[in-house]
Amino acid sequence: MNDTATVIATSGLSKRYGRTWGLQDCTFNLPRGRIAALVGPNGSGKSTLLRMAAGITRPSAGEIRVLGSSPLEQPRDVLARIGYLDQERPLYKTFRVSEMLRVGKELNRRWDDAKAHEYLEDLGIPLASRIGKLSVGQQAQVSLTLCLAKRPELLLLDEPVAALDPLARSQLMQVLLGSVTDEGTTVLLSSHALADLDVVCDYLIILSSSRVLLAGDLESLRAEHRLLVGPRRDRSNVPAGAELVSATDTERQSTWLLRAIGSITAPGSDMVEPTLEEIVLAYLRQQPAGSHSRLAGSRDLSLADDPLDSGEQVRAR
Amino acid sequence: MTWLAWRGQRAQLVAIVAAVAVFAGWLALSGTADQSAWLAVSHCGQHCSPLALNRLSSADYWTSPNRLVLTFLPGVIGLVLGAPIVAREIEAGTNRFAWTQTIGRTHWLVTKLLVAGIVAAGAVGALDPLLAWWTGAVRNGPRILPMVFSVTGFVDVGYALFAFMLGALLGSVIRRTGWAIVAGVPLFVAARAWVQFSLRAHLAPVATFAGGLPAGSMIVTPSSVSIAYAPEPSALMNDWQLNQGYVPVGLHGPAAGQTWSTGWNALNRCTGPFPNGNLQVLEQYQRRTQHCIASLKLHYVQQYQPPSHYWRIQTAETALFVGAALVLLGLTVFVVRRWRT
Repeated sequence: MNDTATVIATSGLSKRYGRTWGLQDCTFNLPRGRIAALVGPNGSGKSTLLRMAAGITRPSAGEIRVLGSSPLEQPRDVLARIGYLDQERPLYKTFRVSEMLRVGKELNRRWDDAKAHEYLEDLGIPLASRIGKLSVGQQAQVSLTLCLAKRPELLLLDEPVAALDPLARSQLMQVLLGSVTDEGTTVLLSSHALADLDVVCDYLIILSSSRVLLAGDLESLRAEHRLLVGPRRDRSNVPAGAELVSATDTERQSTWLLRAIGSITAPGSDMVEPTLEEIVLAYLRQQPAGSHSRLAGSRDLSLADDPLDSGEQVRAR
Repeated sequence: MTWLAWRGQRAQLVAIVAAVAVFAGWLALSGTADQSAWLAVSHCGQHCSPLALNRLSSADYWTSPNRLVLTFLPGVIGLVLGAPIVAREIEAGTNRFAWTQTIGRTHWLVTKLLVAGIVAAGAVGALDPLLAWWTGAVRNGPRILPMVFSVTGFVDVGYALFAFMLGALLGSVIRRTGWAIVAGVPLFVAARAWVQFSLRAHLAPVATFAGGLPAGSMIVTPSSVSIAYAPEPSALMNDWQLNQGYVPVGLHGPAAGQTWSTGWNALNRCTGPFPNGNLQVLEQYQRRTQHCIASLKLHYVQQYQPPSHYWRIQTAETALFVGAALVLLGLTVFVVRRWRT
């Protein structure tokens, strides 16, 4: 593995909270310059992974290297080069926006003050406002601005658009995308807003029940998968050369996600390249028989929570 | 970073300084009034009105409620300013912002501690010149006495710094500002009490007075008769008296393995119980006492700290608390550096 090409490398990374696992045996490499989506149900370990990358959570086992250094043992090497946005987007609520920018300037050697001001001006966030008086969306924008003004090589964003309305969500994603494409910044971004991610991301990591289900380049993953939509099929009738990832069958219709290298055919059904959302949902629907049944309920709930996540079909068991 | 440390605690720091300023104003006003009450009495002498004498009871150091406030003020200021340094950041989650920036945690922490610590020590220390005047105005008596010593000089700055770092450490361990203060109060009081009642007397060499007027001198007043076992020369009235009693001749304290009560017990066994009776009986008892002291080869010894040791003990006790504060600082840095979720 080449350190200059790999921005985050984990191997066997695990975090245990008492008797439950926050993250279990997580191994993946994130190449430089990618915008990676980190998806999974609540409690699947996304925040745990991001916090370990930012050096504020101590792994129970395994290793994580960020930009070639250990965030735990060489925090100086890592923290100067990353922008970390915590899930709770903590800011000093009594500070004015301008004061919050000054905080960023005082706490960082590398700081692009002009850029920070430019972003906030474009977004119409007044510098004289108190942070606590801003809307949730504006607070998220200020938090993201603080990350971007560090001019980081790697952005770790933990649900940056959670609780934002669709407009604020798209605005924030625009700011993010505008900034990182110019500079070739690597991004690892966790979110439940799967539709937004499809536009932005070119790398996908799916976590479920504290394990990595799937990780890889989004284009390759899409090329390797096919969404079969057609009249109801028997589950034994999987097209030759393909592997069934998961199936959603109603009385009349079957929607299957298939994994296959090369072309496959299924007469009578449509075969299309799946979207990120369809891949993610299909993998999360996979029921690893028995082993993680405790979390299975919460997994569906968390996704169904969010009306914008998907047009989730009614599933017949 | 200095700006952030100031800005982050600005409201609290300003409030503390304002509260201390108001209290200082109150001390100046009430102290001036109390001082004139004492002056009035010194002028009227034998012919003072009951009203003027009555006024003294509230103008006296030992009955003044201000004394209680002053005893606890350094601890309260220290704990209130120290506890939130780390705990409030953790409560608000802002530590996850601050500790993922380029600046190191140690740099961040030490700057915050320095800014708030200087305000805490400064607010308490600024009162010291006023207290030197105020304690005199309310007739505090010898300042070497424990209850006066602790609110004069500069030792209160040491108390404030110790309480401040105690609050900061507890805050970083407990991670709740309120609980850190609650836990800090008994610990601070215990540390102060232990130093004041056990350690302070030994922070400078103990002075000894031995011998003097014949022991067992009788003091007869119209209302009572009491035996003074030993003289109390007027010079000793200004000292902080530590121990007194009868010890073997040649020693300035109890012999090894013995205590001060050993001498008293031996003497009481020899003389028998204190008699109830007329003057004649008492005179007999007095003679018996002198005889016992001689035959037991004892002499009267008094241990004390003289006023001349005041600054020496102030310096030593301040150094002790500042040293303890530095140890707590080291522990706080350790805890914060280790913090991970």
